[in-house]
Amino acid sequence: MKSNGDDFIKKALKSLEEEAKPNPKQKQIMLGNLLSQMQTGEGSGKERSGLSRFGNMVTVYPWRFGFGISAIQAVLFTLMFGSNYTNFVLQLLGR
Amino acid sequence: MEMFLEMLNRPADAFNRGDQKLAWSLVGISIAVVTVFDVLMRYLVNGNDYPVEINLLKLALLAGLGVLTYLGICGILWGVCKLLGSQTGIEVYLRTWGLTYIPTIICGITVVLVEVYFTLFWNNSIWGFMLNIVLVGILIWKTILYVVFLKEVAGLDGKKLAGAFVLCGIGILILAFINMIMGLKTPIL
Repeated sequence: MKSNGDDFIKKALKSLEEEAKPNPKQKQIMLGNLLSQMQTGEGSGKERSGLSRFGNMVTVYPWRFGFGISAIQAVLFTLMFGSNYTNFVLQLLGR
Repeated sequence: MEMFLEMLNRPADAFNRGDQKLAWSLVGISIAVVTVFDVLMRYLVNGNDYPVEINLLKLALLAGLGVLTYLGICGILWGVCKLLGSQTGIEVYLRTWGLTYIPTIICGITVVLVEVYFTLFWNNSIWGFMLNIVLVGILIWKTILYVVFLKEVAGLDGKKLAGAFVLCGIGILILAFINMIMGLKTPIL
């Protein structure tokens, strides 16, 4: 009885292990990423470049970067041109 | 919800996963916003002031145009990227590009609200300022997703990525123009 239970757990663990393995497409993507990182020098003990860090900052949480930059331009141009600028953007993008 | 948050915060991972159900749901919601939500809001808010016509045939045609636009943009992305050496099949574009539609949905809702409550927003510095941040932010956000998509899904890099960005960008502008002429105020792109 006990060995049946052990077998069941072993099978369950084995199937979980199988599920966790990457499929061929995922392996291909992982390989591509590794090759790309090697080309740019990332992950090979070198310091990540400023450009790479900036790229990461932009692509992770892209909405945060988008609205951040947008807020800066809105403050700057509204200070310079007042409601003429906000009306212009409204007309261009909002109507 | 987890997939949605992944698309929101880590789009590169979401593109690699390629959740077709989420992608097509987002496209469907975008189309519903620019067709049904638009008419519904105009009817509910302005219906008392002037008659708002609800033309179901026109709505169905606009929804069909939305679907065609989605197929069109996927075709353009696939064609241009293939020309530039991408090995990705068109079915991958069809089940992945829709993941970039979160900003499109927000834009659609914002445009409908701006139009319905236009008098409230026009010449109002504070509302104008807020909408400015939202609309320009959405534009930047969508552009970032577009670049990440070309990199992760089409597998392009460097000059090829820049070339695809420009060529597909022209296609996007043409489709956006056609959408606007046909009556889709927010292009399904």
